[in-house]
Amino acid sequence: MSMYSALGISATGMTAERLRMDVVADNLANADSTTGVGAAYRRKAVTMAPATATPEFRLPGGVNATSASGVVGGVSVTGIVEDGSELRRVFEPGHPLADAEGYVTKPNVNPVTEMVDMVAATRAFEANVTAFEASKTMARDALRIIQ
Amino acid sequence: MLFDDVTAATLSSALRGYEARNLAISNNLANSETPGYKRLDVSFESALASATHDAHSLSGMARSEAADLVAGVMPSSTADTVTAMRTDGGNVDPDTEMAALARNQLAHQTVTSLLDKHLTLIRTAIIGR
Repeated sequence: MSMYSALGISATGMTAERLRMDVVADNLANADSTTGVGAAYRRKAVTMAPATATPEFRLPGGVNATSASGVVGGVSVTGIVEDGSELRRVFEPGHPLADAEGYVTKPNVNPVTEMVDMVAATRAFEANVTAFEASKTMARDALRIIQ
Repeated sequence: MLFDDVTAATLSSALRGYEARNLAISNNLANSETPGYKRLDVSFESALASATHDAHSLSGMARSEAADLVAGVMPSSTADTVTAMRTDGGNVDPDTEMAALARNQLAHQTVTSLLDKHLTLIRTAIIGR
């Protein structure tokens, strides 16, 4: 049933964006977490890819479709990866985790980047909610025929 | 089918098309932040228009045959590989998708109402009031 598949597809989008939000929250919460001398929390990022479709998510008659694009399965989170960029070093000689030169290694979390990511995730989530509502209304309209 | 008429066949073909498009738009929105994702497009209007034109203009065609011709119209989907929207290769524009979603929903609602009215007419003919 394509009507109900659309709801499932929007749900995959909402799940992915919510997970992205969780990761942003984790990054912000750990913006100052040090884990040892010369080591600190690394910013995490979510990677996404189009989901491999289950048969019920197949678009009808994808005959003109290029490379199996007739198959739709929403989005799937392929992993949470660590940001490999350089960690910050802050001069704090009195800190218990300072190295020999007096520097403490701090996470590579940039609050501005996280805020932008947070807004983007919120908007994308809202877009999926709107699509979900539209699919729901369409299903209700179609069901009204048999009333 | 008992009531093999071109009108009902046209309307249900259109419904199938709008539902397929809704699926494609939902998938585009779910993948709006996916790197390299190419948006899906669903088309069925021109195929349906030419099928209904044929069904109405070809003489000597049986009623059910004409209805089958129209009912056989299947929506087709294509990936839009031409346009670019993001630096990561993805080309989903949420605003365009939202507009398409709203337009598609309204069209679906229109066709559903029409089908409802059509079936009411048949019901009236059966029960005679």
